[in-house]
Amino acid sequence: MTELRLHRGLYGANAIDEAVAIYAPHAEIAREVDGDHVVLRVTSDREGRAERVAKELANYALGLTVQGRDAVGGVGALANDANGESQ
Amino acid sequence: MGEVAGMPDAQVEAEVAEGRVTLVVDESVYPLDAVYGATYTFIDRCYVLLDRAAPTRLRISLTPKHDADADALRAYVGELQNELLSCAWRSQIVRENRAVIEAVTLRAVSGAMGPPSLDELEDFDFSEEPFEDPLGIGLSWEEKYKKKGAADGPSAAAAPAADGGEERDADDNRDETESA
Amino acid sequence: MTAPSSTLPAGAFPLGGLTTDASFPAFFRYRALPGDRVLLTNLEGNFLVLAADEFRAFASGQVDPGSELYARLRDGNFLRAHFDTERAAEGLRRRKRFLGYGPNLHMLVVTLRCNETCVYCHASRAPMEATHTDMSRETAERCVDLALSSTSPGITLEFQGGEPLVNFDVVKHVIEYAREKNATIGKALEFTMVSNLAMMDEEKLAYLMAQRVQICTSIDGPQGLHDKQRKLPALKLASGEKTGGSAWEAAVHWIRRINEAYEQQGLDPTLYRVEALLTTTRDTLPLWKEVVDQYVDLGCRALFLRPIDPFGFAERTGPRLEYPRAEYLEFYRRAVDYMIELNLQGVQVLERYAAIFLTKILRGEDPNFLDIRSPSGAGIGALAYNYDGGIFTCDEGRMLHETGDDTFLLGHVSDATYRGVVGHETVRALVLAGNLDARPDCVNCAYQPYCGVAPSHSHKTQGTIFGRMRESSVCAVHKGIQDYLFEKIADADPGVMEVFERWTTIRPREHFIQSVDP
Repeated sequence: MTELRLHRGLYGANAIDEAVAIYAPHAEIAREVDGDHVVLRVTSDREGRAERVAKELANYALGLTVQGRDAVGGVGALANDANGESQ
Repeated sequence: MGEVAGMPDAQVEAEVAEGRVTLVVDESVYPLDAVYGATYTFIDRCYVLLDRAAPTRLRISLTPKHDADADALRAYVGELQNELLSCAWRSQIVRENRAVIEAVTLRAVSGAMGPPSLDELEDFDFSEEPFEDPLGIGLSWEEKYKKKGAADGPSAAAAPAADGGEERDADDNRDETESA
Repeated sequence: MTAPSSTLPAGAFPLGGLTTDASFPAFFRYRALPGDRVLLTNLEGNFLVLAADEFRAFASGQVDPGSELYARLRDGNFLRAHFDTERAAEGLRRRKRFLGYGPNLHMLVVTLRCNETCVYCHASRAPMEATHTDMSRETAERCVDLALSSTSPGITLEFQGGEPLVNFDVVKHVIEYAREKNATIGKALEFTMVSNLAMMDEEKLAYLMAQRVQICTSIDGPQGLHDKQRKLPALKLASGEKTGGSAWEAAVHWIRRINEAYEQQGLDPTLYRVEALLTTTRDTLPLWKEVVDQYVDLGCRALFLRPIDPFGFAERTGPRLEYPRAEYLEFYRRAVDYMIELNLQGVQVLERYAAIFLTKILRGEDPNFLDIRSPSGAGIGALAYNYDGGIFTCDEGRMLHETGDDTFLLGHVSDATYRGVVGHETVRALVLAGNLDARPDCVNCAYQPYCGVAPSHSHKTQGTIFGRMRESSVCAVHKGIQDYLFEKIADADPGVMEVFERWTTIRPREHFIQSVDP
């Protein structure tokens, strides 16, 4: 079992949801909230699988979080403005 | 945990056996956006985990996807530090030069795209649901700050927080309800 | 008391002990030049070279209004009290003229197949039997449709590969389809082919000449070096005739033959020549004189001293071919010094990097070289079309796709719209990333008005489209070349300045612009 703790102030909740959904077919993922963290317990019968899934899931959640922030205030929003399509 | 040669041990720790290096940064030096921007550039080479070490300090863990010895870990964390500085400074530059950057970007993209064709206008779906407006750009000042007599906001996403008119953080588009 | 300048990094100036006066100068950037001189540049790209004492007087606001220095500063628009906003705006508008238009360069990879094997292959070649990497006629037509939708009044369709002569039928089809389609659109249309020329024959040449296709090739220097880097297998034909074996011999034969054909058509031989490109590897560095002599011997009027880049398959062999950028810059200085010497003796040959930068520096205009402009031309100045119809912001992005990285993929010609491609979020991000006003280091660099770094290079080498210029080999090269040029400008040798002025003269090759049939 590999435990992954994602800080709720740093990872978007939607990003975590989506990342868990994406990786759910690859391992058992149990989830609970522990204070500021979402705790994901990843298990798999296959050796090394749980750890790999946990790491990939964390990267994926980080990527989605960054994309989510761009969509409202970061560089992406500026790029949208340039096209006049961000009304 | 071990020290990384040439790096302050209060900020940088390496676990060579685990193939992991951890860097603690101060948010007053490297704003959160800079941390996101810098760490994002590593996700092709490393597994990246962010955590909060203290109220204003962030812990960044890098685990290279391929085997890495102490020298390689040092190189990764050094590159991360450079990228953090670059992102923090860039963020400041963009803020300060926003007018000229926007003007050039607007001219570049609109000049390249040209006006929409009649076919494109014909294909435009005017019946679409109103767009999401998390910054409340589409709202009048009165609507946005819930002045008396103002109409209700057009969408939940655009509405200000209900508890006393406190503005929602523009960067915070997260759903606060945990769906465990 | 000031620190000895020898302890400062290149370009820094010892400001210690200086009380600066922010109210005297208008916005400026500066860089120290050898010989106790300082280069000043401003927002619109004017420059001045000051002696160190003059710079100190300028920075501290201690310049006598009646002095010659004051007049120079005022004339260059460097003084706050005399700042001419209208002039600055006009200068900027002139430099950024390219922003009003969409992509003018459209690169069509008509096949990945190539008859040569190059040690640094940029283009991600495929072997000759890989016919599945040939572009189809239908895909080619969709590429042309998109290209001719550009808001640019001039369109260049560039045939690339692989080796484009391998799929010559599609090349011909593109030319004919584009000419026909353009009859009602009326763009200033040009065709360019980048070929190793080894598969050229008289029939193909006659067609290309008749269709006014500009031909470019690669020459890596003298035969030994060229053939070491570019392998052309020898073939024995059924007739018993032996072909191939030397890529250099094939290229040189056809360069001379094509130049002869231009002359036979009555075209000005000082303007219409085969363009050749050099890829500088570690083996090239000691051969700077031989390389220049080779180009002059072939009658080439331009030599582009391009360093090797990390795209395509080149990175696998990179460690064998790469070199520290300081060594490249030493090579560059020697080669260009020699070219200037030749020019002073009446031989006309220019170095392309120098010509690009000097046009911006001395003429205040941008020659629109897509990798050295701000914002860069990725997606808004150029598009690359892969053999399978994939559309990319640049050829480097297309090469990265061949190595599994789709960062610069914008869509597919089968369902893409022009506005969808050019307004793609990736293009917008690249416009921001390629804008030097938004980039650390560049915002403070005296060379900012003349420079540019392709975001694809930063992505490939540093994992970020924004790049960290202090660690960027492209920045090192661009800074090093501009250091060299400004040292020459500061020396102000009349002969050298005359050569530099000539290198900035843009003579359009109107023969290659396709006329619209009535």
